[in-house]
Formats: sequence, C-alpha cells, structure tokens
Amino acid sequence: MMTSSDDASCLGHSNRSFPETEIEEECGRSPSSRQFDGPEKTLIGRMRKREPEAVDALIDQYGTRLHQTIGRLLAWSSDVDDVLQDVFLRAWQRFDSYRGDGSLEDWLVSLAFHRCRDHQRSMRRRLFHWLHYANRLPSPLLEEQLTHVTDTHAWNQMQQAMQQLASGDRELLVMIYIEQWPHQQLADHLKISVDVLHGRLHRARNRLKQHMQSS
Amino acid sequence: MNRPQPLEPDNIVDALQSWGQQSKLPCRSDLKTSVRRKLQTTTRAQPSYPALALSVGFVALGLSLGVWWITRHSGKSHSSNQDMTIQHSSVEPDALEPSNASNGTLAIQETELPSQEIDSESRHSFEDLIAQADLLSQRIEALQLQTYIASVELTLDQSLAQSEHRLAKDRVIADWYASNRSKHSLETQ
Repeated sequence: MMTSSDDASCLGHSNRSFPETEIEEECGRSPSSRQFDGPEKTLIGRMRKREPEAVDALIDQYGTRLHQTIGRLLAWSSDVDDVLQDVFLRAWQRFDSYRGDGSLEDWLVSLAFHRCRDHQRSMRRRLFHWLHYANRLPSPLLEEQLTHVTDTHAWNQMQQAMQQLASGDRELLVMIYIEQWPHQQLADHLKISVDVLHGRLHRARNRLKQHMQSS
Repeated sequence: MNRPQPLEPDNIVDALQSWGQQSKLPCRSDLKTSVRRKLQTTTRAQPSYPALALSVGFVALGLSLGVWWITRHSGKSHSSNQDMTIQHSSVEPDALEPSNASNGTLAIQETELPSQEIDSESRHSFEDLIAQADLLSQRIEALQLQTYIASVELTLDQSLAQSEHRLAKDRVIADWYASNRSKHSLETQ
C-alpha cells in the first residue's frame, strides 16, 4: 500500500509538503491507523447489539467529519444533508458488512464515498436533469457560515470550479488531495489500476486548472 | 482589478487543499431526529426477516396440509366411485341368454367381482396404490373385453334371428306361391 509520501512522489510533488498535520488534526487521527480506541470499540459493540441509541453516538462522533467529506465530494450542493442522512441509515442497516479489519471511520468514509457516487449517478440518470442544476448552487445557509474563510474570493473561485467539474474528476481530487486516501485504496474502490488512476488524476488537475483560469 | 495569476500544478493543489480545509461546516442540528425517524419508518415498513420467514413457513404449512387433505379426501371418494362403477358395469359371460338376445335385448346381471378388496390399511402406501391401480386397470381391460365379446355375440344373435325370420318369411311366400301356382294350373286345365 502506498503511503502519503509515495502519493506525493508519484505525482511529482515530492519537494512540496502536504498539510497532513492539519488533516490529521481535523480527522482526529492518521488515515492509515487501524487501532481501535476505547470509545470506538464500545460504539462498534453497541452497533452490533443493534442499540438504537448507538446511531446518536455515531452521529455525534462522525457526523461533522462525514458532513465535510460529503460536502467536498458534492461541492456543497444542497443534497449534502440528504446524502449524509442516507449514509447513517445505511451504516445502521448494513453494519453486518463491517468486518472490523479497518477503522470504523474509514468504513464510514468509504460508505459516504460510494453513496456520493450513487447519488451523482442517479442525478445523471434523471430525465429532467436541468431541474436539479439549482442544487449545485451553494445554499444561503452555507454562505452565511463562510465567515471563517480567510480569502473569500479564492474560496468562491475554487468552489465555482469544483461545481463545474465532472463528478468523477471531483471525487478523485477530493479523495487524493483533501481526504489523503492512498492511491492504491482509491484505485481499489474505483476498480481501476493505479496507473489509470494517475492518468485520470492528471487530467482532472488540468481540467480544474482550466476552470479556475476561465473563471 | 487584480486578475488571479495563472495557476501552476502545485498552486492548484494548494488552492484545492485550502478550499477543502476551509470547507468546515457543522452538520444540521436535526440530523439525529431525522435519522431516527427514518429508521423507525424503514423498520416499520420492512418486517424483520425471521418474522417474515416464520409467516411464509406457516402459510406454506397450511397450504401443504390443505392440499394433502384434499388429495386424501378426493382419493377416497374416487376409489369408492370406481368400485361402484365396476360392480354395476360388470358383465359375466353367463349373463347372455340366447332367448333374450333374440329379442334384441341384453340382460346384464349385477354381479360382483371376485373378492379382491383393497386393503384400507395399506392404501396410503405408494406401492399399494400402484398395485391397486394396476389391478383396477386389469379389471377394466377384462371388463372391456367381456363387453366387446358380449356385443359381438349379441350382434351375431341378432343377425341369426333376422336371417331365420327372413327365411321363414321366404318359406311362407314360397309355399303361398306354390299353392297358388298349383291352383292356377288346375283352373287353366
């Protein structure tokens, strides 16, 4: 499995430093860690016993984290909350499929990743797709909550470019550069080889750059 | 107005990561309530698999019992009907009497088959049922053969009677003609 340094080197960014520490602080742990801590172990046990209150604890512990991941994957469309709710529902219904060989957080992020893919695929399948273009715009609530953004212009520029980007390109960029998934792990999830992943990633970066320049 | 500088690959990744880092929004406050409500709805709408399997099992058991009872009941009545039919339609060769046959009627005596009663104890076993079915089919074939022979004999008797009747009629006509001719010759002379 490739590490974060491998990710950087294969992309030709070996000399630049990824803000991994910030991401680790945000996530609360390293993405590659597999040790269950006390609360996570307790939560897994409660989920396996099908305690309804365990869902509340799951939302308390991972709600914000998953909300951010889904928001980035969907470029903060107004469907983020619906998808987040659906992820927790599926986590409850399909918890038997969690084998425990990875962390609960990784399993939930994988669930969110695939749920976002399904959501975007279903959006593409809809006949009146143009009706849902409004969903791509940031909600007013989001704009009100952007007070902590230091450079609003840059943020909006990137937000606009990410919205214009195809969902396949966006998921690659988000999962590799922001969620810091190892390339091999993402390639496994997408059922493609790492070489194909690198090619797609290169093209996605170029398209994002074009969108940024055109905006 | 300051236009943003063209972005290099490193810069675009930095900008992307900056966008991702600053996209920290809390999830909505009623998330727990909505998830719990939806969980209750889906749980109510979809019954648990053991309960569903139990219901299906009960229905299947009821259907099986019903089919078994109907099959058993109809099998009994069918076999008794067959016995009755055989007893009523059985024809013994001795029942054909030439006197009655000459009148064009066939007397069928109600006789019983040899006592080969179907054993009620072994009725339920499959082998017995097969053996009884073979026996019944043999009886039916024998009865069909007897009926055919009786009908042939009847036809022959009827033909014989008609021939005798025609012969007797011809003889009467011949006698009448002979007597008339002798009378006519005498008158002529």
